[in-house]
Amino acid sequence: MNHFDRRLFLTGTAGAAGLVMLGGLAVPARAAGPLTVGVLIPGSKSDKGWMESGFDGLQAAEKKLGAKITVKYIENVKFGDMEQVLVALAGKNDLVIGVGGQTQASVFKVAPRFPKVKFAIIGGNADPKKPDNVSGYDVRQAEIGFVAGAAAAMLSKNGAVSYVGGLEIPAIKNTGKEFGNGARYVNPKIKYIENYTGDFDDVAKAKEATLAAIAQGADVHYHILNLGLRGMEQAAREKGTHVIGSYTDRCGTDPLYVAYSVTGVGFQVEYAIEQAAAGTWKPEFKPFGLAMGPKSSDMVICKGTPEQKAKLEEIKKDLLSGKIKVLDA
Amino acid sequence: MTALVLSMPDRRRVLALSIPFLAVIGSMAIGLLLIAASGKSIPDAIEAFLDGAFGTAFALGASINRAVALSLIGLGFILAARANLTNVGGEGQIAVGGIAATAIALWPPVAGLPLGLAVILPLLAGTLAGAVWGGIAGVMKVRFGTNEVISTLLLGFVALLMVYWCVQSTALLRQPQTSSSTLPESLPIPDSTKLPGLTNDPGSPLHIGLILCLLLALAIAIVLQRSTFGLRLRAIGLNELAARRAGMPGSILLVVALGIAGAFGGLAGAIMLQGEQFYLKAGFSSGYGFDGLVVGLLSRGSTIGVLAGALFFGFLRSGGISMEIMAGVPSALTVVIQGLIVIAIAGSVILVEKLEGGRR
Amino acid sequence: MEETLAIFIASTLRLAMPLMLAASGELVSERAGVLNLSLEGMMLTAAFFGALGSWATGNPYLGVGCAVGAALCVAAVQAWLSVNLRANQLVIGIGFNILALGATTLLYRIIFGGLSREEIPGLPKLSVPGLSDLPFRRRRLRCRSSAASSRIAPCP
Repeated sequence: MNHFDRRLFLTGTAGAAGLVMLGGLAVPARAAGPLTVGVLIPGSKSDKGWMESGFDGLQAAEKKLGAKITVKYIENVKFGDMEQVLVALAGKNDLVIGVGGQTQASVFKVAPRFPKVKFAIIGGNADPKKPDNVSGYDVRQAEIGFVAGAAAAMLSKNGAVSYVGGLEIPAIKNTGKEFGNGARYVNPKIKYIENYTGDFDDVAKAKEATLAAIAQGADVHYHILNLGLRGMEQAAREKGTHVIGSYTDRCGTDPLYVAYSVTGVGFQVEYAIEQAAAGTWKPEFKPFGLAMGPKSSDMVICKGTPEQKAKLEEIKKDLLSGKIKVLDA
Repeated sequence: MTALVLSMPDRRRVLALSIPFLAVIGSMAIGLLLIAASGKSIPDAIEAFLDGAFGTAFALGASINRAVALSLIGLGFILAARANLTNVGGEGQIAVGGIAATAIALWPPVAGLPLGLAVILPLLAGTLAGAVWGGIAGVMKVRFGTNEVISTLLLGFVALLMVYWCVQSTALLRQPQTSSSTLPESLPIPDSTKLPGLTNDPGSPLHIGLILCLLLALAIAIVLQRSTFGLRLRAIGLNELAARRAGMPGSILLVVALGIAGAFGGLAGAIMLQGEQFYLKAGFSSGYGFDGLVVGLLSRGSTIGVLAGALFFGFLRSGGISMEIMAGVPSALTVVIQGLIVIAIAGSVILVEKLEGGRR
Repeated sequence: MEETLAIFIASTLRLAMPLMLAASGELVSERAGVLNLSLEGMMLTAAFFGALGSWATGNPYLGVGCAVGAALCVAAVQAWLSVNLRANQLVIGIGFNILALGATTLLYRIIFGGLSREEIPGLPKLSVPGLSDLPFRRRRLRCRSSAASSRIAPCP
C-alpha cells in the first residue's frame, strides 16, 4: 500500500461528508394545533407480538382522533441510539411514548430535560426514580398468564400444557410461572413444561422448544414470543396440537388457535394518546391488567362452553378481588 | 512521497479525489429515488436528514460521540491490519470493555477517588479487558494457528453472551432485585465516574471521549509511520517469514497487535458506557463494533480515513433516524442506503487506483 | 430419557441442515480463495425469494428454484465487485449483508403488507426407508430457507 492513494481516497470521503454538512442547521419550529405524538417502537412493528400490538394501538388512536393528533413513529431502535431518538422525538412532540420496559432507563434520563413534554412508558414498572413528567403503564402480563394457564388446563386433553418465552426477563418469567400456577389451579395434576429460547424472534428455536414440549405430551401451548411465534405455529400444525394467542383476540381466523389472551399493549398506547388529547393526562404509575376492563386484559376461549366461561369469569373476579395473588409483570 | 503528489497531473488528482465522493453521492441518489418510489417527499427527507444530523446541538454531539466509538474500533483495526491481521471482533471487545468499566465504576471505593481517577480507572479497566480479549485471539493464532478472523468473531459472540449473563445475575452486575419486575440491567454508574462534558451546554452530550480519540488517532498515525514498532508490524504483515528471519519477535508482535486492537475496542466500550449509556444492559454495544469494522476496512489503513469514515457513518445514522421520524422513510430503506454506500465505496477503489497511473 | 435423546438428536439434525448447506457453499468459495462473508445476506435473499416464489406459484419446488436463482444473482454481482473490480472481499460481504437485511425487510413489507399471516407452501417430508421405522424418525430434507429467515418461515 502506498500512502498517497489512500490520502486522496480519504480526503474524498471526508469531502463528501463535508458537503452534506453545508446544507444543515435549519431551525425547527413546533407547530401549534393538533397534539403531536412521537412513538418509539424498539422492535419491528410487524413482529406479530408486543411491538405490533403497540403499533395497532397507535393506528387505532389515529383513526379515532383523526385531525386532532399528528403521529410520528420510529421502529427497530438499538440501545446506543435510543437516547438520541428520544431527544429527537421530545424536541418536536407534545407526547412521547416508549413501547416497552427496555425504553425506561433512557426515558428517565431524557425526560427531565424536556419538562413540558409528556412521556409514557408501556410496560414500565413502579420505580421511585420516575421523573415528574413520566407515566408508567404496567401491562400485568403475569396476571392474564394465570388466566391463560387456567384456560389451557381446561382445553388440554392430555393433561399437559406448555409455555415458551423469549428473553428471560422478569415479565416473561413471571408470566410463565403464573401460567403454570393457573393451570394447576384448575387441574392440580397437570404437567407443565416451560422453556425460554433467549430470543423473541427466533423461529427455529421456538419450533424446537414446542416440538420438545409436544413430545412430552403437551397439547396446548401458550407463549410470549414475537416473530418466533411462527415456529410454534408450525410445530403445532405438524403435530395437531393447539396454540393460545397472546396479544389480540383473533377468534375464528385460524383453527390452530383455541383461545386468545388479550394483553393491552395497544390499548395503553391508545390510552396515553387519548388522555393527552383530552387534556386529562397525568404523570402516574398505572397498573392496567384486568382492572382496566376487557380491552386492557382479557381471556377468550374461542368455542368455550358456558361452564368454561363461568370458570374463567370466576378466576378473573378472584384475581381482581385479591383472593388469588399473582406476581407483578 | 510528497514529490509524488506534486508530480501527479492535477486533473487526475482531482478525479481520484472525487471518486469516493461520487460513489457516496451516487448511492445517496439511488436512495433518494427509492424514497420517492416509496411515495415520500424527497425535500422532506433531505430536510429531515440534515436536521437530524446537524440540526441541534444534541444531534451534533450524539453523532460525534458515535463517531468516537467507531473511530476507536477503526484505529485498532488499521493497526492490526498493518501486520496483516483482520480484527472483526470489535463488537465483542466493546462488550467486555463495557463490562469491565461498569464493574470498576460500581466498585464502591472508586467513585470517591480524587484527581479524575474515578473516571480513569474504569476507562483503563475497559481498555485492559479489551486488550485481553484481543490478545486471546493473538495467542490462539501464534500457538495453534487459528485464523484470527474466525477467533475474533466467535470471541465476540462469547462476549455478547457474557453481557447477557452479567446483567441476568445479581451475583455479577445485575442491580439488586427489589421486586420480581426489576429489569435485568446494572445499577447506574456513579456521577463521578461519568466522562466530563466538553461544553457547558447541558443540551449537548459531547464528552471528552472526543479529545481522547483525537490524541489516540495522532498516536496511531505516528506509531504506524514513524516508529520501529510500526515498521516491524509492516514487515510482519508483508512477509512474516522474512521478518522472523530478520530477527523480529514475530509471535510477540502478532499478539501485541491484536491486543492493541482489542484495547481500542475495550476503550470504545468503556467510553460508550461512561459517556452516554451509564447502565450496562444486554445489547448495549448496538452493532457499533461492526460499523467500526466497516470504517476501518474502508479507510485503507489511514488514520485520517478512519476519522473521516467514522464521522460520515456517525452522521449517517443520526440522519437516518431523523428521516424515519420526520419524513416517514422506512427504517429498512435507510439500511438499504447504508449497504449501497458501503458497496459503492468499496467497489470504486479500483478506479482510484487506475487514476493513480496503474501503480498496482 | 430415550425420548429426550431422540428429540435432541432430531432437533440437532433439523437445525444443522441450513448450516450444513451454507457451510458446503462456503467451502467451495474458500477453496477458490474467496472469502464469502455475505452468506447471511445470501440466505436472507434466497429465503425471501424462495418464499415469494413458493407463495406466488403455489409450488415449493419452483420456490426453491427462485431462491437459488436469487442467490446466484447476488453472488454474481459480488463476484464481479470483489474479483473483477478487486474490491475488498470483507467490505463487500458486509455491505451485501446490510443491503440484504434492508432490502428483504422492505420488500416483505411492500409485498406481504407487513401484517400478513399467509402460510407459504412448503416442501413435503421425506421418509427414508428403513430409517423412518426407527424410533428416531424425523424428516431429513428441509427447505433451505426456513430457518434462515425469521421473517417468513415457509416450511409448515
